[in-house]
Parts: sequence; C-alpha cells; structure tokens
Amino acid sequence: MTGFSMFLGILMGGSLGVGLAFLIFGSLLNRSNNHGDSLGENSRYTGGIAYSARIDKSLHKPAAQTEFLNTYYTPLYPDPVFKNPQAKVVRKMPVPQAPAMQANPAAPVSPQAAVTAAAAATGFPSSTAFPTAPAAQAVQAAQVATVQAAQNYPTPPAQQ
Amino acid sequence: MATLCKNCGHALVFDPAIQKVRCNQCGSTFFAEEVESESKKYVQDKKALSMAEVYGQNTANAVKEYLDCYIYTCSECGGEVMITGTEVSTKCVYCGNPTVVFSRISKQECPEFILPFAITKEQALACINKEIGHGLFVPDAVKHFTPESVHGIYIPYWIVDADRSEAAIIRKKTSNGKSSTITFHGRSGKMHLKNLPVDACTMLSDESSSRLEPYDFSKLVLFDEDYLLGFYSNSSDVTYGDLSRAVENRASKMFDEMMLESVKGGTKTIVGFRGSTAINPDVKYALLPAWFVTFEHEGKHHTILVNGQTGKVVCGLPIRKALFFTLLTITCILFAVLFSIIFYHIIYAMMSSYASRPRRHSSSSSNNSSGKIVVGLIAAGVVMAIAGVKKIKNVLAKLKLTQSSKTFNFTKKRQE
Repeated sequence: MTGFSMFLGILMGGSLGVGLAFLIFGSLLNRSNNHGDSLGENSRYTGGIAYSARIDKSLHKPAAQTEFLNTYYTPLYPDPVFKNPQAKVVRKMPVPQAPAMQANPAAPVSPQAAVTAAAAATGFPSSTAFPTAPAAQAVQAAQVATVQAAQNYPTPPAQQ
Repeated sequence: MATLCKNCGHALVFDPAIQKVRCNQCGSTFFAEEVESESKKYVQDKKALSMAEVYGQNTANAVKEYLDCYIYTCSECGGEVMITGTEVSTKCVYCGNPTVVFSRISKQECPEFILPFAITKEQALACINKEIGHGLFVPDAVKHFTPESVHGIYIPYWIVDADRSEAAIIRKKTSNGKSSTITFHGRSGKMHLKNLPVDACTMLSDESSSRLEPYDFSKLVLFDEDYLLGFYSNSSDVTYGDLSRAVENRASKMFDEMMLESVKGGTKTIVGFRGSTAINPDVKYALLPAWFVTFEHEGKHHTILVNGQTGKVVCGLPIRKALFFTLLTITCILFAVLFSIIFYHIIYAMMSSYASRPRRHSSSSSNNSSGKIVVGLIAAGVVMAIAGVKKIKNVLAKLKLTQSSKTFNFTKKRQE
C-alpha cells in the first residue's frame, strides 16, 4: 500500500509541480523579456458586429451548416480600384476643377455653406477626428461640389 | 533640402518637446506650418537621380545592391547623399543637415496627414530604460546597453475604413464530469471598421509595425514637410493587393474573436465560414512616428521600437539562459517533491481509511471518483506545463523579431 501511494503521489505531485513551475516561470519570463506585445484593441476600430442571424440549435448536420452559410452570408464586393492588385496604392485626389468653372464661376457661397458642402464633397463628416482643410480649400471644394452637381459628376460615398 | 532659419540661415529641425521647428544655432522657434522658404519652391524641380543615371548603367548592373539607390545632392554642402527607393527625408552624411527630398513626393504620393513626434530621443531612451531596467531575466549588458543608433522614423500608413461580412459555424465543446457535449452555433453579420492603420512600407514587417499601435489619430495634423526636418521618413510602396490582404487578415481576425465571444462557455472553434471584406477606396495616407533604437549583444543586432507618440516600447529581449533554466529546474524539483509528499500523505490516509472500513457494494463508485481526481490532477499539470511552454515560445518569437535583419536594415541603412 505504501509503494502504491508513493507511486501515485509522485505521479500527481510531479506533474502538478512541473506544470506549475513552467506556468510561473513562463509568465515571469514573458513579463520580464517581452514588451509591447499587444495590438490595438478591437473596440478602437469597430463598434462591434451587427448580427443578422444567431442560431444555436439544429446545426449538427453538415447539410444544415452548409445551408446556414449559403443562406445568411451576404457577400461584399471590392471597389474596382482593388481589382488591380499589382498597382501601387495612391491617395484619392479631389476632383480637379472643371474648365466650365473658369468661364461661369458659381454664385458666391456663405462660409458655413461652403464648409458643409466641402464636408459633403470630400466625404468627411464634421465629427471625424481628422483635421479639416483650411477655409480657402473648403471654399474651393464647395465650388467643385457645385460644378459636380451641375455636371452630374459622381460624388464620393459619405463615410458611415 | 534643408529649411533654413530666417534669422541666421542655419538649418532648422523639428523639436517634439515644443512641437515647433527650432534653430539649434540661434534658438529661434517657428510653427512648422508657418515656415516659408524659397528653397521649398525651387527644389520642387530638383530630382534625386538614380545610381544608373549618375554613374552609368554598367555600374548599376555590376553592383546589384545599389539598384534601388538614388543620389541626392545636398543643397547646403553639395555632397552626394545616397537614399533608397522609398526614403523621403534623411540627413546629409557630410554636413549633417536635415534633408527632405521633395521630388520624391509626387502629389498622389504626398501624405495627407502626419502625426508629429511627441517623444524626444531622450524620452524614448528613458522609456526603454524604465521598461527593461527591472527585467529579472534580462542580461545586465542589455539593461545598460549603449545604443548603436537611435533613429526617429516616420512610417507611412494607410488609414482605411472597411466593412466585413461573414457567416460562420462555431463548434463548442462543453465538458461536464464524465461526458462532454458538442454543440454547433451559427452566426452571421456585418462589421464596420473605421480608421484602421495599415503599414504601407514593405521594408518593415507588419508584425513589428502593428505592435506599435495604438496611435491617437485625434492628434493628426495636415501634412507639412517641415515636420520631417531632423527625422527620417519613407513613402508608401505597397500595392492594392498588399493592402487588401493586410486588411482582410486583420478584419477576419477581429470578426472571429468577437463572434467566438458571442457563444458563452466551453472550448470554441470555427469549423466553417464564408466571408468577404470591402475596403472603402477613399483611403487616407498618414505618416506615423516611431523611434528605432539598435544595439548589439553577443554579436547580434537588436532593434527596439518605441511609439513616437505614446512611448510604448516594443521588443523581445535576450534571456539570461543560465539563470532562467537553473531557477526553473530548482523550482520544478521543489514543487514536484513538495506536491509528491503532500499527495503521498493524502493518498496513504485515504487508502488506510478505505482498508479499515468494512467492504460495501458502493465501493466501485468511490474508486471511480478517486481515479478521476488522479487523472484530473495529472491533466491539470500537463495543461499548465503546455501554457508555460507557450509563453516561453512567445518570448523567443518576439526576440527573433527584435533580432530581425529586416527591421535592422530598415533603420540602419540610413545616413547618420
């Protein structure tokens, strides 16, 4: 009985002792020698998932799982600019001032209307954390927006 | 091209401590946006020439490593400054004046925003000393290292907005005493990502740059060349394919993490999914600051990164192996002996009391539960050991990243 107790004691105590020692020293080493091992938190970049389906039953069969994936998946399609994977990424520049602008300048705009129109034209909502362009650029953007509207130029989608 | 002080004509540099450009000669300070210089205007036409243009095609062919090098003539001393294909600002190797190569920045490649350095070189070194100074397993030579070089580099980033749509099947295993239950859960939905920074420099590994996060984008300012004075910087050289892959990887990882959190309890894995990510083409181009501090230890180069805005230190450090393994072995033996003695006594007492009791029919269930305890404790030991080994492997992986020649070359191959 003593021998068997000793065997079990060594087996259990040995595994638990070695395991605990590895865990403690692994944590100590990580704390001591690994710094800044974290990415930005998810909440910094997203407000979370808007779920369209949550099913917790009847998905045991592979056929049901496939059907779920086919039914509830809504594909998103990349913008045409991403269809050329070899091309270098470049900034999207503001739409150049149309020649018509020179001949028939748009009616004068108020500074407030200019800023609103500039925000709409550049797709930057006023609440964004990014700095806004100087007033002169805002007025110019407003004029561009006026020309765009007159000539039915496509406007960039507003940011969500 | 150096921007000169309008009071004394000496070269200006950007000082993170006061967030202004400063003349080290006369002490004058100016806001970066206010600095007007004639030199800025004429240098628009001044081009950096490729090695082949300067020394002939044969030279470029003969010396492959110079293929991606360009020659820029310093406007202050006339010295030839060698720069790589994506460098935008550097220092003249002869006169030490800060140099911004404007001709490299075409309109579409010119950054929209810049996050100026908020941490000075001295503060960056202080952050490192504070962080690594108390490490138990950090060699003394590393704790008191002498930096080989300290470079403040603006890293180009694309800041993107994107949407991710995904449907997935999650398998959950719940252990409940004797048996375990497996259930399947379906989740589908959409997620919007806003202002996700993606490193736009192929010379720097994504893993290194992403660990520098987070940056506070509310401090971004409109780009002005004078913020680059005294610092190094690169321009973007990634393709739409690179950008898509980086965003896809990051978005799917985030989505999966959040989706797994929505299923409570148990051990969860995603066993099937369909997903896609669409990036808003209106990407924003910004330069974000980082300090790169290199040092040599036991013949290997190490590069410590410091976030130039927050002072976050990113590195994996060399290990005092002798100390670590000695302490680990001693602790293993001590714990093993201690637990063995404790368990021996517990088991012996249990068996003695069991032997002294009259035999009953229910003894088999008692045996079963004792067996489960034995197996459970052994399993707990194995799980803890695996978790510990994973942590050690993680430290070694990060050490490898700090010793990466790619990061070292990114910072070292610059004019001092």
